[in-house]
Amino acid sequence: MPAIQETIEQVKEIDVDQYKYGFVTDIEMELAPKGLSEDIVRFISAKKDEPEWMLEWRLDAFRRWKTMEEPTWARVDYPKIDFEDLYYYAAPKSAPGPKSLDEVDPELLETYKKLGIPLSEQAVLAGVEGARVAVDAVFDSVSVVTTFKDELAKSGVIFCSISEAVREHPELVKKYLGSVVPTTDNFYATLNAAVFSDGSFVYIPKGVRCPMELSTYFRINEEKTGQFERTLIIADEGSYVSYLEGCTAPMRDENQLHAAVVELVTHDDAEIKYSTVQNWYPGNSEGKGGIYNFVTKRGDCRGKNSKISWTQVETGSAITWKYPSCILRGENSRGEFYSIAISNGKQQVDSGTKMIHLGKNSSSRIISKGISAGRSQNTYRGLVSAHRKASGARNFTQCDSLLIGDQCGAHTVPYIESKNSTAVFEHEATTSKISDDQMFYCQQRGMTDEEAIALIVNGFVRDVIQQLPMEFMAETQKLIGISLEGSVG
Amino acid sequence: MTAQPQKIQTQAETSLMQQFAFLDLEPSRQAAADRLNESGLPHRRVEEWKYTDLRALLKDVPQLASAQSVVPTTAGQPLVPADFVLAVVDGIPQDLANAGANASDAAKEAVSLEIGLGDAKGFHEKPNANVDFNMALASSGYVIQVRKSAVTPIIFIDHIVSKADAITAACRHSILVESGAQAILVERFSGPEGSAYVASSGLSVIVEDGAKLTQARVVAEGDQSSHLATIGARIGTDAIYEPFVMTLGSHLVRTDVQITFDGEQSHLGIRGATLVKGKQHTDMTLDVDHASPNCTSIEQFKSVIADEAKAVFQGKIMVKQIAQKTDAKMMSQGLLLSENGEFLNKPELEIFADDVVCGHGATCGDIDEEMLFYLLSRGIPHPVAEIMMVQAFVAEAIEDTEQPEIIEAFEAILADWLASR
Repeated sequence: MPAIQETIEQVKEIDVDQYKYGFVTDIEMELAPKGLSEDIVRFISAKKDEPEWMLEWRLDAFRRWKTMEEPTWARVDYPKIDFEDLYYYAAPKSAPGPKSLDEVDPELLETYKKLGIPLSEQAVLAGVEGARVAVDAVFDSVSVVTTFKDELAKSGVIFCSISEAVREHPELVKKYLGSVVPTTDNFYATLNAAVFSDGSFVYIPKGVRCPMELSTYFRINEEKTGQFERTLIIADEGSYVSYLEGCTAPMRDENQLHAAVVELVTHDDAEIKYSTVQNWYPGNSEGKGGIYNFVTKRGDCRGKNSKISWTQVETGSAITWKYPSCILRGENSRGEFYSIAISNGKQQVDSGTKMIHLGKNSSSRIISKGISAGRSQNTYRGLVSAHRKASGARNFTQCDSLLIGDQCGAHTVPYIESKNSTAVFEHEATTSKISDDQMFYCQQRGMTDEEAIALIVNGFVRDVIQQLPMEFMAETQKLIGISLEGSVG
Repeated sequence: MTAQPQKIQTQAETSLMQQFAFLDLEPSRQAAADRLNESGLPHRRVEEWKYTDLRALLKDVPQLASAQSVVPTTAGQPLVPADFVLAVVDGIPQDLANAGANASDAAKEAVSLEIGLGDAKGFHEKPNANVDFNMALASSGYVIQVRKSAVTPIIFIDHIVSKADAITAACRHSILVESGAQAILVERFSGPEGSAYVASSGLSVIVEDGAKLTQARVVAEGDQSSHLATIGARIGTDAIYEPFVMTLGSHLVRTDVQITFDGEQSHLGIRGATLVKGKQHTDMTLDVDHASPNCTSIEQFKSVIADEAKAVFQGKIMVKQIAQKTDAKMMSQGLLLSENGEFLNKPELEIFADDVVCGHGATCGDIDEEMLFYLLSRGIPHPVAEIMMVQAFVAEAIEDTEQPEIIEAFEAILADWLASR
């Protein structure tokens, strides 16, 4: 059945032409020479004041990258990227590294204010009593400020830019960097390993429940730059952290490259909740400009009873190529992936997840909602696999897509690989099998199937979205209202 | 400096190329051979062959059997009472003289049979290594034409490999069910145990407007053989095509099915049951192209995997922009009976039309403990209970056929397989 009018209108409101964050900050920047070479890698490393081992690590990755070919398997179509025509390092002159809030260039503070990011530690988010969020603000290639550092340090939590972590906590970085996404993993991850310029580092010590939300806000500002950030989050035994990532960019006619790597590690009984509101500039309605978002995100549930949960709300980017994954290594470990991907204009989304079950009784859940409008293409691509030793592994997958208009496409490409007879996998692309119990409960209270499904699905998506800063919520609230009526496989 | 990877031919590729060089092929067969020569056998880096690396799995392509070397043989006992009984021995279609011995005059009137290559109109235009393999190697087959009549003729084709030495048996049939006609096609593939023969089978199906074709196939080849089959079908307006494929045999089975809707208001009901054990590898790859509006399709596949066997299901439903009001439902289920079995499943949807109902489901697991307990608690011994559960699981796919004799025949095959485990 076709989509209902209300849904159509709601999607229209977040159409590509309505992009609110397209302004440019006029600030003096320091740029590395254009192009990519060993010298540029050395330049970035020197800028970051990195130790020798880090430089070697980067150079190794760079040499490897030169032998690799750009992947073409995703269902996206774009002109070949000229990797020599990009700036790999761009930093505001006034902010060579993160410092205290008082020293930050007022122009930058103004930018974040405009974006609605609370950089002031006193700021309490409207309507959310007592909710405080520590923010690491990354502007082009550098982290300009990290808030609440001292307060976090009191509980032993390390939250800083990754460049700072390389200098201050080399033992942790050495141990974990590249242990989830190896430098040789894929074309963009290898490129990132060679030239990554900044990003966030989080370490939650044993038994600590992180006292506040952590968040990183990525902003691309400069022309012809690529942003390559690297995030590393480690949750030690019994700890918990909720982390939020947001991103925006100015409206420019050219395409800009964003190739990030995110690595998560959870030890025994630890949990990481990683939420993303991806709102990069999607290009105009004719498909001109916009961000190419080629991101490798992966979590490693190393310990028993560990848990990683990915939540993503994707509205931006000209091209999205992103598969937040979980390696479920630990016994009873759990992976979750909740995604709402909305594409409009000429956007192309190829996104999904991988749940790799290696440990006994590991379980995972995938809920993916794709909504395509305009002339966009929206693909869910996912893998669920159970290794021989993954006895009792359990997966439930549901991916629904909704098409608005007859110029767009919705595609589903799931890979389901079971090598263990006790592993139970269910993949549902119809709307009849969420949980019979929950459905029955709702139905007996007089709800229709559709209302019940919307309630159940939105229930847990909302659960995560409610924890996002209020400023992000305006966008996502609209998505929540979108009806599932007319969904197809 | 990057080293150029050297292309090393496998034994199977070498013998295939040598045979192509020796055969004097007409242009369309030569074109298929050239494509294979160029690309080699497909391997795991080719997406459609990700789970069935033919380059690694196909050890050899033995000498192609020729008409001169084949001893004339007649078909075995048909699976179901049939009007026409045809035999293909070592890939060579046998004489038609006695084919219609049991057929009524009305059935004889309705069906025209010829030996030849017919056309391959049923196949997609998309390049496919399995189709090329068959196109290049097959030199003959049956050309079947069903005209409109009061009866629904049943045609049985028995594919037999007679030689104990490894050979390659290749044939391609075409069946045309003319407007308003109905037919039932039943096929069996069998061969000697212990022989590493290769059977390549092609079938081009055209179901014209208002026509109906019901098809049932059992693949029960010898345990060391390789079975590479392709079915290409085009469905007209207001037509029905209902194929069922049961796969039991061969060391390696790959069946490619490509179906295109050419007209509106048509229905496809394709079902499959795969029963594998030992170290068998079976692959069912389905590509349904909803190229017309208002059509419905149901795809239902069941795989039962024992020992160290591996079953692959790849199903793609494409709904073109024009194909509004499409209703497509695909279900693929795997039942793993042993610890070391593997079930690899890739149900795929590509949708370009907004007013459609499409869905797919995929499940995989072992026998439900609770259900098993229910049977055990009623005093049914464990092996019997397990057999009952498997029967019930597979029956769902078998029982959708309208013909009771076909259901009976396939249930008997299922029972034999379970008893021999």
